Amino acid sequence: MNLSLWANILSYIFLFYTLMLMLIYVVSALVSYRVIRQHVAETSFVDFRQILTSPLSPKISIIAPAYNEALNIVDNAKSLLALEYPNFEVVIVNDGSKDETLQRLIDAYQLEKTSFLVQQQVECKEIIGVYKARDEAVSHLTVVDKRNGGKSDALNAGINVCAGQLFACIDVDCVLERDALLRMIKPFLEETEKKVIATGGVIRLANDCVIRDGRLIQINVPRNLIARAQVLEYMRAFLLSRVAWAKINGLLLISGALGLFDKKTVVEAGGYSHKTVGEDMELVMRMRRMMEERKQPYTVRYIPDPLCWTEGPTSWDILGRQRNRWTRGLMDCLKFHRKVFFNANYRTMGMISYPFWFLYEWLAPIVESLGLIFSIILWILGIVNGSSFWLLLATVYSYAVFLSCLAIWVDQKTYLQYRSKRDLGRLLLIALIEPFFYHPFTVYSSIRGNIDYLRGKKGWGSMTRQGLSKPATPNSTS
Amino acid sequence: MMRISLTDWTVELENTWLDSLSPFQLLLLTLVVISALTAVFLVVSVFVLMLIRNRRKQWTDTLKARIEDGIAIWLAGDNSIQELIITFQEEIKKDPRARKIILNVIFATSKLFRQEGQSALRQLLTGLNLHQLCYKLLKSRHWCQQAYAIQIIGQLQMEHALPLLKHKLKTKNSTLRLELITAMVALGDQSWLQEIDYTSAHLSEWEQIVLLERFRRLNIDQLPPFETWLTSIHTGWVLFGIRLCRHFNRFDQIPELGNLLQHPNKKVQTAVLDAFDYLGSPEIVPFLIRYLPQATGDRLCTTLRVLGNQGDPDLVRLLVPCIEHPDLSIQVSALSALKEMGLTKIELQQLSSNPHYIDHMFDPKRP
Amino acid sequence: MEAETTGKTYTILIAEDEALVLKMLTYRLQKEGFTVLAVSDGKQALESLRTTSPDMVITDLMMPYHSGLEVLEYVKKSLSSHIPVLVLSASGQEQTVLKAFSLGADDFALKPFSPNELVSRVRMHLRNR
Repeated sequence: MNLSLWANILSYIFLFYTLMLMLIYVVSALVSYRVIRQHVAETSFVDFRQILTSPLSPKISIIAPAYNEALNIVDNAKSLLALEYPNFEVVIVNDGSKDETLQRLIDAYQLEKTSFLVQQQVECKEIIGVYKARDEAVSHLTVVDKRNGGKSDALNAGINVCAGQLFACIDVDCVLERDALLRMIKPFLEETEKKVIATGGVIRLANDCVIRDGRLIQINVPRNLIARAQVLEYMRAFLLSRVAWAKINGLLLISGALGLFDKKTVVEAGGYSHKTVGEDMELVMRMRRMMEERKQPYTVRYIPDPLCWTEGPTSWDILGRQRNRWTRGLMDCLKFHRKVFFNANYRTMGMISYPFWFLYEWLAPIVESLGLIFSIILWILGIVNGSSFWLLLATVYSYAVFLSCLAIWVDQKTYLQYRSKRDLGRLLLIALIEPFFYHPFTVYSSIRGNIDYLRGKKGWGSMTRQGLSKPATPNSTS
Repeated sequence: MMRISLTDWTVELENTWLDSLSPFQLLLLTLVVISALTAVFLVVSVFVLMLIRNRRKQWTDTLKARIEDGIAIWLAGDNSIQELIITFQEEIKKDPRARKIILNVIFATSKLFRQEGQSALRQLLTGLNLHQLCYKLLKSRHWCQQAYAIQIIGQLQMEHALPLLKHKLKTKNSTLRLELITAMVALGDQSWLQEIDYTSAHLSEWEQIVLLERFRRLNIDQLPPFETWLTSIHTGWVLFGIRLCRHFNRFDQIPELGNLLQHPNKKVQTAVLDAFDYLGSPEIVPFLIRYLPQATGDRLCTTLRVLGNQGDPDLVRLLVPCIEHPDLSIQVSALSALKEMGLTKIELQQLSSNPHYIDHMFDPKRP
Repeated sequence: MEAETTGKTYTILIAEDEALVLKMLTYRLQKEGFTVLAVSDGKQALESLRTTSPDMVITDLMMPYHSGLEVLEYVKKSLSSHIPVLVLSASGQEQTVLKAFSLGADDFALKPFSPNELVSRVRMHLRNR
């Protein structure tokens, strides 16, 4: 009897938790939809190419760290150099690669070492050389050669060398839309009352898409089921959730693959942290904290246009490592900034964003698995009947399918990235089956991440050292 | 259970299973049903949207191709405007939705040309009575439609629409305001400017960039009376005024700009320095000398550089104290300014306690 | 008409993905007496360059499959560097212009353009050949 009462109370706690989650997602999806529609309408009146000749545009430095990327580095550099923006430079940071990354760049662009005064504004390992091209047409390329120190260290070296007021950190193997910078710069320039400290961009998956010369030519839904499930997952995250977070100025994560930052603010905040594998999220949180503590009006903006395409992992092994690392990165961020938790001094960040990330991004996989184990036990003990158990599963499943359908619908009503019957069919199929195989695996990886974290595994770990920018993408786009 | 027919099964479901559910389970069931139904609705709507889109696209594409061909042949001079108007009117008679598409194509065509051809296209537009459609769009509830109409009016120089535009000047919508300003400048009407200045508090950097580029492309012979903006209470307008001076080479405004160096807003000071850097006339020197003691940070660097670019040896004594400035970047700026003024490496080494920078500055490999 | 008086009709290849520009230029240049090969993307442009050798090439920069720069490079390296190439682009970005000229472009016209001006540029280049 007593046991049954406890079971009931626990059930209701789980239910409340789930209902809250559902509510948050539905609300944020609605907000996102409105914001995206408005954004699309507004940008349809902007001729971004007209701005290309503007001398008023602030200088942007693109910082692309490279570690053992010899295979594709020249192509990747070429595609970065071809971006459309009136006033930008590309800073490729060779993070002590063991292969020919540097030499290939030197050969391809006839680089020569220049005398360069490096101001140590943020902490980084020794910079061995700064290279520039002789050719006028690539005068906006800088290559930095430094001792190996990891991704954060390479980004910091780029910050020290670059000359722009703003810098964009990008993964060197991403495919950017040509007008990505023009679109990303807009929030910095249009805000008059607050300081925009960073702008994030959407990452979409390029598996099975046609890419030529660093340009995306045709969008397809990947055949591989793991990649396809991720396509749907990215759509849900970027179309339904992040836009709404940015709307209430509560965005905590700007993905390391594409973000534009105000350099001065980043330097004041101390640059990228060496202590975590979640350096992208940690930086945004630290910058936010700094601005909140200084009581300066600021905002972090977000551009919902699909601007950055990257290849997602197609094997369970690599996907598992990626999610494991994400979880550990998230835990670092939550730990470093625990002071913010329900702290009204930090306004939206303290009262909404941080608690959400804590309760729903970090705890959700744990609560979910506990909930499942708990209901199975209750069922076995005979405290609840089979109906309860199956209904619970059906609720979670139907809600997951509903959210995926919503994401597909929003895509149809806004950007229309996937327009053929075949693509839609593939997406729907994965929406129906993904909760059975993909989702459980991500939950499992995330719990593994928790365990690894508690065991004290820090950093990228020896097994993930081969790829600097993203262990998740061994075969970079070409 | 396996052998009973569907009706039996539903009856059983209603009678026994539903009754047996606790409130908790009923709640779950409701959630399942709601989610499933919404999901089905969304999927159906996605496919319906796709069907409608495909069908409409086919119709639009063929119609558009016909219209484009007609216009292209007409512009090459093979067809008279009357023939073209008759053909298009037939299209409109077949399907009134063709009006919007013809308007789109005319607008797209007009954007391809610089000056010539605009009046011919305007004739075509009025010949087809499509200017009425523009006016209708201008009254639409949706700002997108209004903005689109304003773009067309500006691009095709439809002067009769001016009074209609003036009504809209009080808008709070930034996109609409940008389009309005562009259209009115394109139409050459300047009388509205005061009104805009008073109604809108801010002009963001973004709006300034867009407007400046649009002005540059319009090839206007006469700038809007921006002199009044230099004294506006809103920083955005002051900045825009300064930038117009810079980009349209307004040397006559140098005294006004010089006085703006005393403006409390640092962005304004920076913009003036930038304009001076670009205009580079000797008239700017006295203003810079006056500004030098109060300049700090990046602005001090720019001031030093601009003074250096003047290459006037009389200014050397003014710059020498900056060599010992605590800020490294200012030291470097002062040194390179002095280098510009013609000081040799040895002279500079005598002045500075930091020979490292001087070596760097005279390094031929320096980027 | 110059093309007619010299007794030879010049062939001009136009590669442009914007249908409207393509049509306009085609009709206009045909009217001026040129033979026009109109293609709407980089792939078609390279294909037709393999089979025919035009007297002049007008190419857009942003095109599907192969960019205008590739078309330019192909004409200058694989065909004859004497074939004039006029690059037509909406982007006046300095880097783009520099890149085009460094690959051997003979002229660069910015959109929006004036058709009359473009026709006289074409004439000039064909005269100078």
